Amino acid sequence: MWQDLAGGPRTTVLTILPAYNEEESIRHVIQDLSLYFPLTDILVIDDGSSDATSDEVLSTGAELLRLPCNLGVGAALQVALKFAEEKGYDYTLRLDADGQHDPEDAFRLLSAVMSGEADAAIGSRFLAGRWLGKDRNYEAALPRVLGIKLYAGLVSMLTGQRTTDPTSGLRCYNRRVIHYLAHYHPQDYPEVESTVMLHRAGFRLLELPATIRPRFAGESTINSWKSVYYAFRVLLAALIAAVRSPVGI
Amino acid sequence: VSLQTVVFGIVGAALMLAVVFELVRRRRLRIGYSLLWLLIGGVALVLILFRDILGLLAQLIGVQSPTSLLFTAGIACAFLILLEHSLTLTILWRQNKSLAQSQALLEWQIRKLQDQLEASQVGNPWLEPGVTADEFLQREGIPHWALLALPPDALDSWHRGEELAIKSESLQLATAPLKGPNPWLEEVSYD
Repeated sequence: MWQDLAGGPRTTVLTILPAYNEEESIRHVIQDLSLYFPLTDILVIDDGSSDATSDEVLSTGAELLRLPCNLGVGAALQVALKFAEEKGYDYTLRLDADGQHDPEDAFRLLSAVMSGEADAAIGSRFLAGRWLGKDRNYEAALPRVLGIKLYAGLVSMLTGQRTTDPTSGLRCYNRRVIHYLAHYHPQDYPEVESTVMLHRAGFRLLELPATIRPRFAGESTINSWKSVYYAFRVLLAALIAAVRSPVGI
Repeated sequence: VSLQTVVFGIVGAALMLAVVFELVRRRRLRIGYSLLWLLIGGVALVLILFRDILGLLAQLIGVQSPTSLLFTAGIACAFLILLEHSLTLTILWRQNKSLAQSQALLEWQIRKLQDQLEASQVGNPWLEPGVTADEFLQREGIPHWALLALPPDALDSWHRGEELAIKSESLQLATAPLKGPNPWLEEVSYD
């Protein structure tokens, strides 16, 4: 919660962490975040975890939404945005629950959106090299990087705006975007599709550099066979989002 | 076409209609989903009884053999039903998602209310609605000075004559050692 001491308008920020079986890392991530953002509310969405993620979250005092079954990141994010809309938050900040996103970058996104520079800000792992030194740049397996570059090219083409990292999960939205996505949110790996969707709906998107830290614990949810399936699925979803008439805001 | 084939066809189609009808009757199949099946069974029955129709249709469309028209139509029907099922699955997924989401939001609300309730009880551990301090002391046979064992704010409101309600278990616990004669008063004998 951000309260202007001079009695100005009250702005509220909700930090969203979608989590699936993150019992080992979630506590660290929440503690880390509350150091950087002591005045924001932290909401964890437990997407039907089979481990003790929920208990860990409750013991830290963060807010918790527990989905009764695993619905995928898209549905988890949507319920968080529904929550944000219902409770009247002005901004949402989304980070991964494994601690790979740096709160410092999140802060930069938040200030960009709060200043009205953009409706949605996205942290790009591929802008970071230039800004923050090579040593902290994003490194991943080649097929994955190639895939992301492919999506970046596709999204740039579809939206007519240069995009370097449409798959990034580090995002900040303002109230209008929250309202829009709370009512219609893409499923499973929703980042690429929602980037195209938001652009089609006329929101101003902004990419800012972001670094990737090693995860606190746990494994990536993306494995080889599933990733091929999801790669095509995301591709199709992005193409369809580009020809679909934007839903009224 | 031999008589056996006709009988076999009629029995088959009738059996299918009967099975679908029975499933609906037992409420195992929703009537909305049964319509398509009944339609297909009905069409099959009509085509068997009036076999000329199939030949006429084949001629009209320009298909050489009526049999291949029948197979094509059958596959098309199966495809339609599968597509209809995919549509239904999509609707069900969306409803399921909405339900799960609102369940999560409601659970959050319940947890908040529970926390609030607990906080209100922790904030006033001496509350027991409807029982005043005097009533309680009388009921429990505790001397008035035992109220000194109460926390200051509870004592204050008792002094102001407010209707202080006391959670009896708490007060009982706090005053248990104090029941009976005042241990701090020396017994004076005037012998």
